[in-house]
Amino acid sequence: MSNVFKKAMSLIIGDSSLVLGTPKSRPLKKLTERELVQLESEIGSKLFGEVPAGRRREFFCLNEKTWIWHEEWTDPDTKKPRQLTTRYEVRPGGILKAQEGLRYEYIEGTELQNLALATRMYYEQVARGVYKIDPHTGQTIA
Amino acid sequence: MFEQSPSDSPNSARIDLHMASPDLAPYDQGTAVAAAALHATSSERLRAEVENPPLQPIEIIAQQGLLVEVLRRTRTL
Repeated sequence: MSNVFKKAMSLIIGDSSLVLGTPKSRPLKKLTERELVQLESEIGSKLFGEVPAGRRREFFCLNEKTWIWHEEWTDPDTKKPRQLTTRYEVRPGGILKAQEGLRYEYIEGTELQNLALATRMYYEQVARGVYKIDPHTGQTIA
Repeated sequence: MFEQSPSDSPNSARIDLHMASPDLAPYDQGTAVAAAALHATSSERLRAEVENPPLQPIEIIAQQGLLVEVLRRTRTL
């Protein structure tokens, strides 16, 4: 199919995959793992409600044993940019929390419950929103 | 959701999951399991819990990480 014909078809039937050359059956096939994580993080950042104005939030699964919470904001007094990254690591002894400048600690109580719920919501919403898969059945969502 | 911690300096907002509770609304809407649980009788629920004891939070976190990894691998391999 010539490029001109492909473009004409895409304009007629509204199928951008013809222009991009991405197979319809595997719409995310050409994305790298990093790009997939970025898409996931857009969903992850919204799991806790609206992000306050002037803040940037990331929440994502870095790999099967690591979850990342990252926040950036401007200090209201000094007007300087601030940021904080928290790593939650799955260890045999529990979930280890690591923040720069602070001692590592295993989380428990409310924080552990909230993280468990957040990861579950993350999987459910990412499966549907990014991968177009029903998280319960594993079936592709039309 | 984000609150100042007395132990923090006045300018450092406390940011972690102590204060950040996930917004349950989207989860409840999209979770057939939750909807089914609401309609299950107590005896049915009890039997289900005995047969399939609920996972501990640590197990849930580990499981979700694995599930996300599987999703990614199906797209990147």
